[in-house]
Order: sequence, then C-alpha cells, then structure tokens
Amino acid sequence: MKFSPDLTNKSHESKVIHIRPPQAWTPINVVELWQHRNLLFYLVLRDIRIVFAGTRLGILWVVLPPLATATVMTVMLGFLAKVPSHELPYSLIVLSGMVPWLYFNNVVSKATFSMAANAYLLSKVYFPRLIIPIVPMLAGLIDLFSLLGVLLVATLLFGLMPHISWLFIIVSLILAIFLTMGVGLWFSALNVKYSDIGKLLPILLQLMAYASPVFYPHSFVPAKWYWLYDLNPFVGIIESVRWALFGGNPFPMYSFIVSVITASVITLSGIFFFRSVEDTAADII
Amino acid sequence: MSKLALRVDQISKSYQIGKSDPYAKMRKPFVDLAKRVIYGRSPLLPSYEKNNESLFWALKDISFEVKHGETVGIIGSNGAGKSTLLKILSRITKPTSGYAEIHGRLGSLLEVGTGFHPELTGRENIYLNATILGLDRREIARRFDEIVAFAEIDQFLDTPVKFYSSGMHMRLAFSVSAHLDPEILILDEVLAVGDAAFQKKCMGKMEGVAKEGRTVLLVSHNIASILSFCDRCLLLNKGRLAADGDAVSVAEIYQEGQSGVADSDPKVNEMIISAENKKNQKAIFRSIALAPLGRHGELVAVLRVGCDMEIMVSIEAIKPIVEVSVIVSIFEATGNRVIDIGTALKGDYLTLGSGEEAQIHFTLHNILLKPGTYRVSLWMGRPPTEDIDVVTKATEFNIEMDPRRIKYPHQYLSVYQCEFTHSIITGNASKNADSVLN
Repeated sequence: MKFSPDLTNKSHESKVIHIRPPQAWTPINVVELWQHRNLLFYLVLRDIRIVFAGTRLGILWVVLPPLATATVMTVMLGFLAKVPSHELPYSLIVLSGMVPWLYFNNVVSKATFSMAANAYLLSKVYFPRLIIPIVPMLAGLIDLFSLLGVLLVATLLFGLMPHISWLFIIVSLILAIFLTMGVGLWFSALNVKYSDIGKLLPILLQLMAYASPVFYPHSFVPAKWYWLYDLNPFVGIIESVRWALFGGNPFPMYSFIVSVITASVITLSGIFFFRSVEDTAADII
Repeated sequence: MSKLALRVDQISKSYQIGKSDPYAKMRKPFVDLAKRVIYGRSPLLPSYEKNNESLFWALKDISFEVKHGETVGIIGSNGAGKSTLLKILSRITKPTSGYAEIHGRLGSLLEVGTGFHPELTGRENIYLNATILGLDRREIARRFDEIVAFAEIDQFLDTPVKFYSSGMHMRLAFSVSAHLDPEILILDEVLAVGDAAFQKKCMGKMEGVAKEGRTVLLVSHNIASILSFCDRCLLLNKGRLAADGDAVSVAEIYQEGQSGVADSDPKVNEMIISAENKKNQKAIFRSIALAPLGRHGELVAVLRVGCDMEIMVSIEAIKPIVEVSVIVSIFEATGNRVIDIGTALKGDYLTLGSGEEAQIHFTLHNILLKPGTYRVSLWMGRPPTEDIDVVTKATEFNIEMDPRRIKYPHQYLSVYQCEFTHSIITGNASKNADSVLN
C-alpha cells in the first residue's frame, strides 16, 4: 500500500473489526464494554423508568412489599413461633436478612429472563451481550439502597446507636452484588440453552431463602449442622451485615470466607459460561 | 486506488434443521463416557456418537471485497441467505467458518426503531435508540434538533411514545436511523414501510446518503431500489454467491432465475383450458400459450418491459360457428382492463365447421406496461349479441423491469409507458422573457 497523506485513512486502519467463528474461552473485552457504557446507562434507565411508569407512589413501591413481608414474618416467627432473637427486635433480624436477599432474589429472577426479554435487541444490533444480564444488576441497586435506608432508619428507631462497624455493610453488600452477578450470569446463559431453567428458578430461590438465615437468626440452626449450613454463601453475607449493625457475636469469619470464595468462583465461571453461550444466543432465542 | 472497506473470506453459516435437543448435547459426554467404559475404548479416540443431525447451510463459502465508497446491493430470493450475511457482517451472529474484516465504523440498520420502548418519552427513546445504533452522547446531542425536526414531533418530545400515533412513531424511528453517520452502512429492506409519502421522504434521504460517497450495503428483493442506489450487486442463491458484478447485469441474471425457468432456458408457457360444464357450447377455447420474444424475435426467458410477446390461442368448434371474433384482454392485478386485442379489431372473423380446430397467433409489440403481474382473459362470440365462450382467467404473466432501459431510478407509477422523444431548450431566462414580451 502506498503512502497516503490522507489522515482519515489512519482512522480506518485503527478500527478493524474481525469477524471469526465462535471460539472457546474468549476473554472479556473490557475496552469494548467501556465503549458501550452509554448503552448500559440507557438500558438501566429504561428498566428503572418502566418499573415506576404510571404509578403514584413511585419509589415507595420498592419498600412497601418487603415491609409487608417483614411484618408477616415478624408476627409468624417472632411472636407466634417465638424464634429466639437474642434481645434484638425480631423485625430487625428479618429486615437485615432481606436487604441482601431481596436484591439477590429479584436480580437473579430478572437476569435469568433478560436474554429472552431483550431478544428483539439481540437479533437486530450488535453490542457486548454481557450488558444484558448486567442491566438488572445495576437497576436493582436502587431497590437495594432504598431498602438499606429503611433498615438503617428502623435500626435507629429501635434505639441502636450508629457505630463505625456499620461501614462494613458496604463490604457485605459488594460481596452480595458479586454473588448475584455470578449466579445471574449462570442462569441467564442456562436459560438461553435450556428453557426449563426458568421454570425451575422460583423453586430454587424459595429453597435458597429458607436455607439462608433470611427470616430467622443464624443461632436458630442447631450448632452441629453449622459446618454444612455455613457452606451456603448467603450465610456469610447476611451474618456479616448483622454483625456490622448489631454487634454482639464475634465476626462470622468462616462463613464469610466461604462467601468470598464462592462468589469469586461463581462470578468468574459465570462470565466464561456466559461468553460460551452468547455467540449462539441470537440464533437460538 | 480506493481503500478496502470490507473483506469477506469464505464465510459459511450452518443451522440445524428440525427439532434441536439441547439436552442431548448435555447427555452426550456422559453417555459417551459410559460407552467407552463398557466397550473398553480409549478416551483418546474420537466419540462413538456420529453427528447425524442434518445441517442447513444458510451461507456457503461467500467471498467478496468492497472498497470504500462503493454502493453494493445484495439480491436474492427468500431464503437465499441475504439476511444471514447481513447479520454476520453486523456481528449479530457469528459465522460457522470463514473470516471477515471491516475497516471503519460500521452502522447496521436491520429494522427501523430498534429498542423503542412505549413507556419512555420521545426524547428518551431518541437517546436510547441512537445509543443502541452506536452513537455516543455527544453525537446524539449534536444531531438531536435535526432528528426532532425531521420527525416533526417537537410538541410531543416529552410524551411517552405509547401515546404517539403510529405515523409519529414511524417518523421518529426513521428519523433516528436516518441520522446515523457511519462510514459503512448496512441496510436491510427497511424502506418498505409506511405510506407512500413517508417512503418518498425516506427514499430521498437514502439517496442522499448513497451519493455522499459512503460505503453502502443494501439488501433488497426490489430490483428498482437496487438499481437506483447501487453500482454493484451480489446475487445470492441458496447460500452461495451466484453472481457479482455491475448492478444491471446481475439484476438481469436474477430476473432470469426468478422466472422459474431452470438454467434460464426459454420456453413457451402453455395452459390447457378446462372444458368442464361447457358441453352445450358451440365452441370452446382449448389452450393458450405465451411466448416472450427478444429484440430479434427470439424466444427469451423473461418478459421485460419493451419486449414483444406472442399469444397463441386454440379453439375447437363443437357445432359450426360463423363470423366469430376472438378477443384477448389483459388485466392489471388490481382488476383494471388495460389491453384488448382481437381479430374483429383488424376486421377479421372466424368461421369453423363442426369438429374443426383453429389456432390464432397474436404478436404484441413493444409492451410498455409497468412491471407486475397481469391476468389474461379470453372471449369469443359475435359482438354485440352473442357470447360463445368466456374464460376470465386463462393465464397470468409477469413483466419485469428492463435493467438496461432504466434511466430514471424510481419505479413507474403509471400503468403504461408510451414511447416518446424529447428535447430540452435552454437559454437565458430574462432574455427569453423579453422576447415573449416584445
């Protein structure tokens, strides 16, 4: 090729798009994801706007259903079943469990069906497909932080004083977000290939809710089963939130480390599994 | 020498036909392992399971290059692989094998209004849609006013799109798409939407884009739009590249393939006319045959505008008929009667004895009907008093546009295009005005 003084040619050279057959184990193209951040932003905005479109109470609808659930659980387990709560108001136990749990529950549900719900985009334009399951993770943060606000207000109302350890909640929630992302990626990719996953999901989430200390304190589980129970990555997340807010028990080190390891493994493997499915997604959906 | 915009090297894409069973794939490694254990086969040897699922090749070994500034049409009948090719080039799906590279910023428009959400306002949808199509926030802001003005929706900018009329929705969607500004533009038949006025506006905009020297790939069934936008054309047939060349000659090859004649072998199209329920008639039409003729009177495969056509009608008299006229009428698809030819028009009448047969040949010269499908009906009788036989739908024929004769890119609106000559006289306007006044 001859030397060309035309500067525009340089810009052509720098942007060559290569189209190749699907390859196994493609790494994530972080640069490309960053280039599509605006798309991510508008899709998140779209999801948030759709939830509140046409409602009078708007963001109140984020906190009302969990407050109702929390009330029911407090009456059922705290007052009727008399589950011991170690001097703490039972409603605080339930609320603190529900903050990370509801985020996980809602986002994983949405992420699982996200590819099918956005099929009209996937079959018409190119963008990094990873954006699609990430959208509900970001949109769900609104709910997560609103509910966290409610929890903090409730804690203050019940007479507990703010403490430096409250800051640790951020760490716990980041862990919850990563775990949610990993599981969300796995299920969204699985649901593209196997539609039965979508039907199975509500059952799995329900089982998971009762296998985690969401509606009851960790101490409610017999101590001889801790070794097994603590393998659930949600134990470490919820218990560390309760430790940060209410103090009392020693920091749940064992279950927290389990959570960190599980979240990392699931997230990393989730990204790769998603990548292996995304190439064919437009053909299958 | 202009630079390469696009290089496609032996791209193939296959799909599985029939019911795909994803669970079979999941089972396969376990079944395979079990069989290896049972039969004592080394795990290094290839799998027992044969891949007996049938594959459908939507594209097979497609290779071509496009230079910057070229406008290339991609044509082919349904299922030829046009959309699959566009989907691969716009990276929506990946090829099964092969390689392609794209130099420069690519914008693909496979649908108007991708990602429009009814709950979002017009403004939000402009941003969302433009972002989906690959513009960044600054570029959208720069074009925002233009997009709104083109769509004529400024009053309703902050109204959710679900309250828009379908026309407003369409205008907004096209407006966003039309203000994309990529170096390489890939278009599917997005123009075939909306009413005539809207299509005209879109066509004008598209023509502008094509003439700005941008690289354009346009997929269409419509030879007229290919010929008006594209210099070059690719013809796909059953997933293979059947032709690649200048738009006119590829369009001709496509028309010949479309006429349903294998190997573009010209033949006379003969229809036998059913004689049911015609026992009591004096005479009946037996058959009709159409033969498109080329410039030198030779039989051709495709009837194009400006061709000749021979019509042969056979008649059988059951009882004697005297001084009978035979009329062939040609109708548009919409039902308008456009041409009548008949023996009586030339002062010729037919007399047959009982059991006798006759063949009447008509040759239509220089048929300048607009491209489309036409119905042929037959009438025989003694005007105006007696009908002997009437066949309302004897046969049908298609007239294709003649790619070599088109100087004006848009499709004909009139049914009939007469031959005409013209001249243009130019001069100084004020001087002419003076001469008129004086």
